[in-house]
Amino acid sequence: MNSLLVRQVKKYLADLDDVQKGKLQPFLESISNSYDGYENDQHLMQRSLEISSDEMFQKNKTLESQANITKGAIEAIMNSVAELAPETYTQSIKHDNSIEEIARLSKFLNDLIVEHKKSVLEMVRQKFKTEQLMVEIEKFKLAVDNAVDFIVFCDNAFNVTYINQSGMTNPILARTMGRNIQELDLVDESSREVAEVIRRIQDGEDTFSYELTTKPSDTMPSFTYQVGTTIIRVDGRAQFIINIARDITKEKALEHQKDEFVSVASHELRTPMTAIRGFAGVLMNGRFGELNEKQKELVGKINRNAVTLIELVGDMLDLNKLSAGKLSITIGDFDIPTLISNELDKFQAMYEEKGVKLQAVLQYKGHVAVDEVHFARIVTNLLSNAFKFTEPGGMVTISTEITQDEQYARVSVTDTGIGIPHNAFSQLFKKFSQVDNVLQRQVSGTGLGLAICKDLVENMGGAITVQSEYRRGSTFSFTVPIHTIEKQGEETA
Amino acid sequence: MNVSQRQFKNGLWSDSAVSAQQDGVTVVLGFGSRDNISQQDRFDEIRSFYPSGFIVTASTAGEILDTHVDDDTISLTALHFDQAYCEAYSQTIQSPEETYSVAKDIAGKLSQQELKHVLVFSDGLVVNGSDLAKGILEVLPEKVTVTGGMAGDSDRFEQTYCGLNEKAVQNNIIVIGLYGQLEVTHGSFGGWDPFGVPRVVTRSKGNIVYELDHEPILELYKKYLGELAVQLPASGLLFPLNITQPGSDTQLVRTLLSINESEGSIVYAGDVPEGSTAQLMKANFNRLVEGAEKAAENAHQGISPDFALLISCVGRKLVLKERIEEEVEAVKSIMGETVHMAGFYSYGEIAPARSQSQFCELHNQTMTITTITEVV
Repeated sequence: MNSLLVRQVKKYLADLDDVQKGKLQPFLESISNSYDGYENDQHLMQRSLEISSDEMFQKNKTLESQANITKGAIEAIMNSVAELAPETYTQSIKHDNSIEEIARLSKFLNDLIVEHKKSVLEMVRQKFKTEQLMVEIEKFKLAVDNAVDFIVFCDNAFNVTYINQSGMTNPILARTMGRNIQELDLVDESSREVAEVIRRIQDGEDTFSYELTTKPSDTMPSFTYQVGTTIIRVDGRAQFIINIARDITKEKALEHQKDEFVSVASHELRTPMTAIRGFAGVLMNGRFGELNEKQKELVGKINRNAVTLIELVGDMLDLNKLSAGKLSITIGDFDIPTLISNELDKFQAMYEEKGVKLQAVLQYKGHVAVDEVHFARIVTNLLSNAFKFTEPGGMVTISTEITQDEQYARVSVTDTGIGIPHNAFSQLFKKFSQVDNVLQRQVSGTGLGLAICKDLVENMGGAITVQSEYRRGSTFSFTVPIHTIEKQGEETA
Repeated sequence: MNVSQRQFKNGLWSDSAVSAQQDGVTVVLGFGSRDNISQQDRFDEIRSFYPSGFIVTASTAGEILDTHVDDDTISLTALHFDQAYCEAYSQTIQSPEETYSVAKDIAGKLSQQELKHVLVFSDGLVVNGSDLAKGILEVLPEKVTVTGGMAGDSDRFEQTYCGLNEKAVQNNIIVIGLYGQLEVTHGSFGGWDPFGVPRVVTRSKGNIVYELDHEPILELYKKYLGELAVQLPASGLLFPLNITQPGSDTQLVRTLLSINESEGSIVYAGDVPEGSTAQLMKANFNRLVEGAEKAAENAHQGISPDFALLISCVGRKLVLKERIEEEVEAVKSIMGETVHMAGFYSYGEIAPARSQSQFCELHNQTMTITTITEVV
């Protein structure tokens, strides 16, 4: 029986006899069980609370320790962040490990990560672009390396930094690798050419085309190159120079041989042709007896053909000299109306005889800077062609005007002749070209006239053009520079 | 509606308190100790009292008849509805995993027209109480309420029985549908308090818990029980588990059903998902009785019912011990003197989580009350 109940029974039921106690026994046992049960429950509850308390204490210690570690970690992160964050942020850190502070830190780090990701993405893009660029550069390098022409790169002082494979096969060029281009042993004209190019580079020009010829030596022949030079500038300053060259030594030699041949052949032809013409003239004069009509006709033909041949030889020689740059040119100041009227006088009679009107319309009457002889030859050639290709009853007009930029005078010869088909324009100024038509067969001409005019005009610094309508007429125009005094006069005016 | 009651005690049946209307009884509820209720003779006797009507029986951890709580008896209550009616079905399961599908099947057999409420009784050891509630809910319309209990076996946790129209058997699930003009209310309340350090369920499977905070759960119980550890699993009822599932605020109580020494695990009456937060709970006499009062208040709702079915948890009986009748008396004081009361101490209660909710689930350590009134 429960000890408490025993005491209570002793205290309060001491008077009961055994029988009465016996009757109460089940009840007392029930009460004893209840007391025991209650005590056990209390004991269990006490035990539970003690164990629970201890666990709570341990948990708190663990949490405290974790909190300290977390606090330390946050401080460490804050210190790291201070390295990266702007001062405005680091100065405002409260170091109180509050939720707000941690949220700010988290946002800052998130923003940093976003920025970092953007940077990485940009780097990847740039890397891809660079890789693409490298591929293009490789393609370009391959093309340059394998080009047939010689490709030479120089720095802005003309020191050679690269020569492609073709270039390295040329013994002269190959020796320039790592050296200055100006060390090439050039003929005087080419040395002057190089000096001129350098001067013009300093003046800001970027592209040039010229020929260079080296001097021959004991071990090496002379080479001639056709050179194209391009300057690459950054912020206006020359950075490096690209040269593309072609060995034209053989072509030059062939051209020289051709010129020599033409010159020799022409001279050799001229002498006998002059003799033929002379003898025909003597026969025509009747020094060796009067000729009958038939004889006169035949001798006349011999004479005309000789004249034509002599003109052809003369034209070929002139053209050859022009090609070689050997035809002399003397620029002077001339009054354009005077120049033109001199030529008109020569043609008036023949035009009248044919029934073709010849007139002059001179809008510009000032001075020009030309070679007088060449100018006369051009006008003569154009008036002669117009005369040949204009039917009786037609009209030929020679006119002058100033160009829009007021730097040149334009001289035009307009006829009402047979005209020229448009598809023939490209061939007009080439040697031995004549537009094939019915009338053309009846006129004479060497076919060199317009080619010579073109060379003469360009040598004087001008250009020649044509406009034409088939069966309606043609206009040949060429420009010559206005005399500089005229220009200076305009500038100072 | 008429209610008549009898009791089988010390080998004899008592007369019912009112004249038994033997014919026309709608449903008979018989709650008794395992040894009594599993007897064919007892069933035959009950059937002789009530030749018609559904006879539903369940083994208990204690029988309630009016305000009396007894052991080793049979509490018998017969309900006679004037116009309301019932349907009932039962089916046994072979393993706990079949609980959900079988519950769905038999609940699905109930006609849904005019269905007001479903009472469910089941085996208390093999059936998974959580799956039982889920399976029934799956097929019933939302407006139909569900209450019930899981059969008990005193504090032995060895074999539980329930039966429909035959001798009670093990592994059984029974559903009874109540139809017609019936007013059915319910209330459920515990009165246990969580205490101590919250722990995380780090390893569990269904209703078997292996570890809390990576420590074997059985060792935790033995530490708290001390000398009483030798009485496991019964002594484990003193410390039910309060669980909060991840992502939810709802707290559920889980009663220990059995232990596995080799695995260090404990089987509970309902699921305890991994990741849940778990705390041990302790009881207080007054709070348990107050809890029963609260359950009664929730069920009462202003009118005195004809019949009140009380299903209370075995854990409460273990704590309250001889004072157990105080909680039943508390219920009676709320319900009114005219109400007929019966019920049993179970291994788990089925009831809505909140009094106004239709969403039922398994509870433990509660007093769950269902009142039935026929509205004429």
